[in-house]
Amino acid sequence: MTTDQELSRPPAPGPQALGRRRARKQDAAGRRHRSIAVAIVLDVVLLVIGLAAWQFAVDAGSVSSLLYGSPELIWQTVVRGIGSGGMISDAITTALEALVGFVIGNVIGATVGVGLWYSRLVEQMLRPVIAFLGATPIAALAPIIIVWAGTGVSSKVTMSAASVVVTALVLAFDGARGTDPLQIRMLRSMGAPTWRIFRLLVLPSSVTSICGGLRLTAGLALIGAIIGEFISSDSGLGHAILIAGSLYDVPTVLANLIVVGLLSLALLGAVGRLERLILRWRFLALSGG
Amino acid sequence: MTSAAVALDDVTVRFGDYTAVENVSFEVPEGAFLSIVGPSGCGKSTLLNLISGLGGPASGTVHNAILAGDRRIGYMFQRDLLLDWRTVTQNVALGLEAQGTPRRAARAKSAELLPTYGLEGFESFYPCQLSGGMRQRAAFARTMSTEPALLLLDEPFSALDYQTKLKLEAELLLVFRRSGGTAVMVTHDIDEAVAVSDVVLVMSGRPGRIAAVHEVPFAATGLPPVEVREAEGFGHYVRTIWQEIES
Ligand SMILES: Nc1ncnc2c1ncn2[C@@H]1O[C@H](COP(=O)(O)OP(=O)(O)OP(=O)(O)O)[C@@H](O)[C@H]1O
Ligand SMILES: [Mg+2]
Repeated sequence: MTTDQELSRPPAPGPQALGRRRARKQDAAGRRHRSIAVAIVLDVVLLVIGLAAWQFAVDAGSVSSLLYGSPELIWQTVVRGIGSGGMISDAITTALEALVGFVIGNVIGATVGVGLWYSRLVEQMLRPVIAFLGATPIAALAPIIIVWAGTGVSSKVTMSAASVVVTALVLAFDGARGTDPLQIRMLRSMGAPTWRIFRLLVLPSSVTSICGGLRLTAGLALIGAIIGEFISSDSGLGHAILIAGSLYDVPTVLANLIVVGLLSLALLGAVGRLERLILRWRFLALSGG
Repeated sequence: MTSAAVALDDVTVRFGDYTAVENVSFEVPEGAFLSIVGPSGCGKSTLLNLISGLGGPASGTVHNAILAGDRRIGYMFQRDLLLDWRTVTQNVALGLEAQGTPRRAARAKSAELLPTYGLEGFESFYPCQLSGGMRQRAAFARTMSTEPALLLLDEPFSALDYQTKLKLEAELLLVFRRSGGTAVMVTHDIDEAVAVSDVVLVMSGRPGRIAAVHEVPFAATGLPPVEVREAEGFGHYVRTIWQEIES
């Protein structure tokens, strides 16, 4: 029994123990990679089974491809869209709108959110405003935003940023407020003025929540841009979906939705990368067990 | 009076209706190491906070010559309070950065200090990669990096195992004597108080009052805390204080 052996082995001192710990760390990393690989394989298998069943049902005539589309039709739409370049240029338009909105919304939201730590009075003044904005359906604002910002790209960016900003703000503020009060006291006793406590402690303490905000708002930014395109546009995935929807072209709607999903996965992947870069110490802690 | 670094005169502290500390008076002479022992909740941490200038008394006066002067105070808590996202070097530099030393100068000074505190080789480790003893060493180095004239210690070693604790006590004393500063330490460990201090203040609880004051000779001998525990008369002090806390 390996466990018995491990238990009866005396604790090895010094570098040997360190070496063993490193080996265990690598084991853990290996296990994690393996479990991710298994999850991806299972995802793909389930997807293939699902698509096959769908296609079979359509081919057998028990499901109408007119109402529900079919994997084959969607695939043809995608191939056609990529061949003509239309789908790619739509995707680029939407991706850029969402990306710029995502960045603007998060920068404004996180800055204001963290900044609210500074002033209890301003925070309490803004509290009902934030609650109000948080409950406002952004889609309802879309026509007004189009009137203000025009029918071009800037209105979609505004829509995207507006969908993101409140969530980013609330998370950043929670992060700032969650700063360890004893650490604040320590810095104060060292003679640090408030703005320096903010820079040395509160800001870096909030980074974890701000990163959480990035992850939460990636999808919101895309939705905001697409709603903007729904209202008025001449390009973008939202535009394509709107046109296809009005023609009852189910496969095209679904094909474009799939591209939206892929964009959101790409954005999430980039956010994950960024997070691992910024929160390097945190991933050390996790892998250290 | 001029030789007192800290002087409390008839101090009472209340939290709402609850009287945490009542009619407490004592002085800490410049250069002395004073320890406060007493039952849990008797107001020891409250007194340290008061001395550090965080919060004021309901009545009485608190005089702190260092707070009134150049404010060089080092406050160390039971929790190490290391910042997770900073390496050991960066954490030790925090004290200097808090006082406005430019980042690069602070980190250079910090790197110089690490060997003194047994942190050589751990420069780029993050707190999550350190043992409890190492973490507390880093916290102590951070506290001392600003060369405090007044050291406030709130149960700094209570979370450590006995051996590490004895080692850190010895290192603390060495650095403290060299700094020429004044120290006030709160502890639950009577042995520790008798071994490292010049004066031990015994408190009783509910509300917190001073029960007894002992001048203790052992720390002045300069012996390491392990050997001091073997010295003649050590056990007598420990037993006396023990009984005073019990009663
Ligand atoms: N901010 C506060 N508000 C209300 N009560 C408080 C506050 N701080 C301390 N107290 C109360 O004052 C009393 C003294 O607290 P203090 O932390 O000084 O005790 P202590 O002697 O340090 O205890 P321990 O040895 O357990 O650390 C306790 O009964 C505590 O509940
Ligand atoms: Mg306490």
